[in-house]
This record gives sequence, structure tokens and C-alpha cells, in this order.
Amino acid sequence: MRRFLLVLLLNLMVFLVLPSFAENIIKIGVIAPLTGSQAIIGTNVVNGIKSAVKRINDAGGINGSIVKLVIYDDRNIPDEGVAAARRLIYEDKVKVIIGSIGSSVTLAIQQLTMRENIFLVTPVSMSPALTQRGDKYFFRVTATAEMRQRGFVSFVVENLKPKTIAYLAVNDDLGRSEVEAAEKFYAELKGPTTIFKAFFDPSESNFISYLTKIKVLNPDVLFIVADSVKAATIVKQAKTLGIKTTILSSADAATAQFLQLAGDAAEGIYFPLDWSPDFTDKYSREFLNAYKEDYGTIPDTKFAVQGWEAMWIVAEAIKKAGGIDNPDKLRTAFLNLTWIGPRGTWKFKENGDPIGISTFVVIVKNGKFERVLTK
Amino acid sequence: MLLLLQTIVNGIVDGLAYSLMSSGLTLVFGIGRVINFAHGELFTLGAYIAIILVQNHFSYLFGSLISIILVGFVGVIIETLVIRRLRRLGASIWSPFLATLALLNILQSLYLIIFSPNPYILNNPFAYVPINIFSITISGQDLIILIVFLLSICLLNWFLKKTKYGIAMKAISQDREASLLMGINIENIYKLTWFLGAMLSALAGILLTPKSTVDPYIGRVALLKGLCVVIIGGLGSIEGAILGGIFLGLTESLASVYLLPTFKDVFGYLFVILILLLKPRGILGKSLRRG
Repeated sequence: MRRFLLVLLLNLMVFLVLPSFAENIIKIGVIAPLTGSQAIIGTNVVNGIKSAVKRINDAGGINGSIVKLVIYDDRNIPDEGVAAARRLIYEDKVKVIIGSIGSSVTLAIQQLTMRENIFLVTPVSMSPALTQRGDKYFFRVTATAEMRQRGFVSFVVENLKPKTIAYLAVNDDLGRSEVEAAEKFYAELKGPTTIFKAFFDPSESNFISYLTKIKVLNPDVLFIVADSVKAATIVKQAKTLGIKTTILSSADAATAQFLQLAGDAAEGIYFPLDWSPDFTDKYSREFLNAYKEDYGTIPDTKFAVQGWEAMWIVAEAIKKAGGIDNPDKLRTAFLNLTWIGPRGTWKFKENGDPIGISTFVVIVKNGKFERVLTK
Repeated sequence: MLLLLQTIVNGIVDGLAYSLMSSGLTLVFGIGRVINFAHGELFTLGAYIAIILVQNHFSYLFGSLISIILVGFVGVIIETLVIRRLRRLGASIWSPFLATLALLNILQSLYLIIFSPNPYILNNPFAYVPINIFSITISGQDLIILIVFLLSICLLNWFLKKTKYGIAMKAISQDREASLLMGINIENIYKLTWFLGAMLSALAGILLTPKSTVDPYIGRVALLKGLCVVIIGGLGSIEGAILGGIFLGLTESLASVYLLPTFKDVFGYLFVILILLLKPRGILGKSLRRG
């Protein structure tokens, strides 16, 4: 009998204690590719998010609540992303999801989050479609292709003054949207005429036939859109063929990995860049110190900073809204917040896109990214 | 004119690369009657082992040789542990097909765990050195591919035509039952076939990856292009594989320069379908017999 009472008492205690614990936890869902071809980016983003959560919790959490992450892998496959979102929403009962990387995955997840009034914050996806669906609870903590291209294009037109341009881009939403944005702005500024445009399969590693044509056409500039690995292969193959054209790249290849893989073929290539681990401002140092403390190294890619910023911005919005239970309050908090991070000052428009994240122009010199100062 | 010549040279160079990708596949199919879906993973394994050895101060040449032999033994292990057991069970032709497909996934996951998805470079001092002949440019690696590929094909041809084991292999590919009755040790010949086939897959990986990078997913292209070449050339025919590769390379190269560059692969696959429609057994295909 005594034992029975003891068990009863213990059970009661557990019941009494548990809810009070639960009240002090804010669960945030994270969906990113942790295996598969985009795993480097996914892992970097998640590392950035984890570093931010650690700092937020060390400082007492959000309004006294501890942040707990529930992380699922989507392997950069839309179906897997939706399955992960389903688990987060129906089993883990999260109200806010940070994810994902590939736009196609994020678009698929958004179908579900829109229907269930769940907050979706993407740290990386750039597709314009994401903010054109009228999703009230969607925010993008990254510059779109248009934002990244606008400044870069005017730099190219004013300083390099090309008459002709060739495009070589990966055949997915990244390549298509970057080239579309670049062409639009070049046309607006009466810039170079397009004399060659090709989109290659994401698994392609042989660019010789495209480059042969480009060599003969001899454009003033060549714009490439690819991840670091493919971009490195392209510039190395271009060098072998003896192509002397000035190469411009999208920001995606502006990584330490690209420099390492491309070697001296990287010299003289221009990039638009929103952030690099070489940045020495206060906010970048804060991030880099945190990252070094947690993982012992600086991040492989700039995507880690995107995870870091997305998590801080989400935390800031939840703090302002006083919790995550009222999505409309949370939306208002997002629209009214101003947060300064390594990439600049973040504010958001009604459609969920950021306002005024600027990019710098960098050039590779002696194996390093060097900022190009314009007049 | 220069563009046309360069495009044709590019096509032939790419074509030889494709033939190389398919040679291991062709050999194992021609004699073992197994479409080895793990072929691309052996290709990748060859590159990875060579990278480890080169990083540990072996030369490219020596590291490659060791890697090729090691992967050859992996082929023997696959044959002994998986394919032979299925054969003894009297399993249908689908069983080895599914088993090698499973191996593909197992090996790919292993590479992910061991090497991470980050790309590696197989360092070779000649890889990107331009070689100019009458203003036509090929890379140093292309020249190496050309020489090594021709050498290995000659060697393979000599082996198949002149040696006891080679002749036994050909005999089995023509008629398994009769070969058995003639007293050929068929199990040993299958082992040998897988040994050589896996070595060719690894050789392809080692020769082709210095042109780009190595990650756990590169086997997919090797498998897909290898299968295309095998279809064009005719299953099981080494000469067909060479011709098929060159045809595929030329089609892609010419189409991407003179037609639509974005549809380079599309033209390649259209060509495969066209061959299937016109010559269902491939350019040099022999009729298939139940082995």
C-alpha cells in the first residue's frame, strides 16, 4: 500500500511538473538537406542556427522560454521536405519552421504551411514564386536573385563596359532566375547584348563543348551560375581552352571551396557577394567567434551566416510578439522588426521579402576575395 | 572551320571517355550476363582510393595502379558473395539486377559516411595543361585518356583472343552449357570477369575524374552514360562500346555547338532512342542467347 502511494505520488509529481516545463519551451522546426548533394549547404545552415540557439538560450531564452530545435533532413527532395513538414506540424506541433535550402523543396513545404497557418522562414531559397503566393506567414532571410544582380549589373556596365555577354548557368531555379534577373537589368541599362546562353544539367561536369563555342564567339564577359564545385570546373576548363574573356560569377561560387578547387584559374573573376568570412565588422566577428567556439573552425560556406541570421530574426520576432500562438501577432512583429546582422540591416516587406540587403563586388586576387571599391 | 574541327575533336575525346565508362559494364554483361548497376560506384571507388594514396605521397601512376587492383578484388568479392550465390539459387535474371542496384545504394551511403559529400580532387599535374595541335586544344588529361584507353583495349583484346582464360571467357559468353561440358571452370572465369570488369570501372574513374571532382554521386553519370553507350554499341561488344561512345560523344558535341546548347544531353538520349528503333541490338550487337 505504501509502495502504491509512493508510485501514485511520483506519478502526480510528474504530471504536475511536466506541463510547467512544457510552457517554458519554444519548439522551432528546421528542415534542411543534411545528406545528399546539397548537404554542405544544409549542414552549414543548421550549424548557424544551432550556434544562434545556444547564444539565445544562454542569455535566458526568448521571454524566459528555452528554444528547442527539431531538425529533419529533406535530402533536397521536395517530397521528403513535405514529409518532414508534416511530422513537424502534426507530431511535434511546431508553429514556426525554418527551411529549406532548394527553392523547389521550400515551395513544396509552403503548400502545407500555408494551409495550416504555420510560419515558414527560409534562410536560403531564392525563387521569386515563394513571395508571390500571398502567404501571410512566409518570410525570406536572404536576397533574391534580382536583389543580388541589380548592384552587380550596374557595376559591370559602368566599369567593365562590355559590348557582348555569354551566359553559362545550371539548369535549375537558381540558374534560371539569376540569368533572367541579369538579362533584365542589362536590358534596362542598355548593357551588353547576349550572344550565347546555355543551361547545363546539374550533374554535368564536362563543359568543354559550351566553352569551345564561347571561345569562338569571344564575348567581352562570361557570366556563370553554378555551385562552387561546378564553377571551379568551368573556370579550369576555360583556362585550359585558353579563354581570355572576363568571367563574372553569381554569388553562389564565392566560397573558400571555390578558391581551393579552382586554384589560379580563379584569378580575376568578379562576384557579387552579400557576405564572406573575411568581413571584419562587429556583427561578422560576433558570428565568426560563436561559430569557431562551437565547431572549432570558420564555416565552409557563407550559408552558415544565413542560418544564424534567420534564427536570430525568428527569435526577435517571437520576443516582440510575446509568443508563437498568435500567427497574426507574429506577422506584425516580423513586419515591424529591424535587426542588424553580418549581412546588414534586416527589415521585411508585406510579401515577406527583405528590404535593401546590399551586395558588394569582389574580385579574386592572389587566391583571395578582394572587395572592389567603386567610385 | 576551326570550330568544326575543335568540336569534332571534343566529341571524340568525350566519346572515348564514354567508351571508357562503359567498358567495365560491357565486359561483365557480355560474359557474366549481369547488368552491374554498381558499376558507377566502382568507378567512384577507384577515384577515392587513388585520392587517398596520392594524398599519402604515392605518385598518380603508382596510386592508380594499386587502386585499380584493389577495386578488381572488390569486384571479385561482389561476384563471390552476391552474384554467385544468386546464380546457385537459380534466381531469375532480375535478382542480380536488384542486388547490384542495392549495392549501388549501399556503396554510395558508405562513401557519404566515410568521405562526406564534400568534393575531393584527384590531383594530377597534367590534368589541365593545354596541348595545342594546329590551334586545336585538348587537355593533358585527354591525351593520357587517349593513350591509356587504347593501350588497355589492345591489352584486353590480346587477352580475350590469345590467352587460355580469355578464350574461355569468350566461350562462356557464346555458350555457357557447352563451355561447362568442355570442362571450363566456369566459377573461376566469372571471378576473373568481375576482376577485369571492376578494374576497367576503376580505371575509368581514375582517368576521368581529374577533369572535374570526386563526390559520392559521380557514379550516376558513369552508369547512365555507360548504359547509353552499351545500348548504342550493342550489349557485350567491346568494339561496339568504343564506336557507341564515339557516336554519343560526337552527337552531343555537335548538337550543343550547332543546335541548342542547353539540350546537349537531350540530343544524346534522342540518339540512343533512335538507335534502339533502327537497330534494337545496337550497332554491333549480337543476338542474345539465354546463358
